[in-house]
Amino acid sequence: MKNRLRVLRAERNWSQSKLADLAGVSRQTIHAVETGKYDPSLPLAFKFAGIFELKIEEIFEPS
Amino acid sequence: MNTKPEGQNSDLENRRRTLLWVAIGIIVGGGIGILIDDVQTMVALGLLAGFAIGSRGGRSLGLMEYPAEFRRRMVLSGVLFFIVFYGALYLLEQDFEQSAKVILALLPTLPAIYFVTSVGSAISSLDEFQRRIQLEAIAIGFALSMVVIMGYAMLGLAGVEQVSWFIVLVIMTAGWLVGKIWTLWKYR
Repeated sequence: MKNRLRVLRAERNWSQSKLADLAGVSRQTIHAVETGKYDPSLPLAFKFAGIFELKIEEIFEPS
Repeated sequence: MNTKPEGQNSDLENRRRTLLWVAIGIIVGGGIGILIDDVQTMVALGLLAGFAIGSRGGRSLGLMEYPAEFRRRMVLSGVLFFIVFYGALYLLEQDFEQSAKVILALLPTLPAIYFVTSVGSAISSLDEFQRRIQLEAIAIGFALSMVVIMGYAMLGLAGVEQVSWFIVLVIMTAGWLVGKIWTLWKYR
C-alpha cells in the first residue's frame, strides 16, 4: 500500500517524533509506515486521517 | 552537504552505539561467567547482560520503549526468578526429604510465571508495529529453538554426551534474540 504520510508531514513541517506523539505510536512505527515496510491497522489509519483532517483514501492508496 | 533523510544519520550512529552496548554486555556477562567458572552460567549471563545493556542503548532509537512501570516489573521479576532458581538448585543438592525436594524443584515456576506475565504486560503496552516485531521475533525464536533442541536431543540418542538440560533455556533465549535482531533488521 502506498501512502503520502511523509509528504503530508513535510508540508506541515512536522518531525517523525511529533507525528508519532500525535498518533500515540513510536517514531519507529511512523518510519516503517512512511517507507512502506508496514501497513497500519484500520484504527491507526483513521487516526492519521484525523490528524491530517483528510479521508483515508487521500492518504493511503493500493500499490 | 548532508543529503540523508531526516534522522538517518543519528539513527545510524545510535544503531552502532546499540551494537557496541550489546557487545560490551556480552563481554561483561561472559567475564562474570568465567569468574564463576561455569560455561552455562557464562553463556546465560552473557546473553542476559548483552540483552539488558543493548536494550538500554536501543532506547535512544525509540525501539521497544516500555513504560518505566513495566520495565521495573520485568527487571524485578527477572532478578527474583534467578534468585529463586539458583537458590532452589543449591538447596536441591542438600540433604532434604523427597517431599521437600519436590516443592523446592517446583518453586522456581512461580517467579517464572511472574516473569512471563510481566513480559506479556510489557509487550501489550507497545504499539501495533512493535507488537508485530515482537510476535515475529517470538515465532522465529520458537522455530529456531525447536530445530536446535531436536538436533541436541538426537545427538544424545547417538551417544554424544549431553551438557545439561539448562542449555534449553539458553537456546530459547538465544533463539528469541536472533529473531528480534532479524526482525529489527527487516524493518530497519
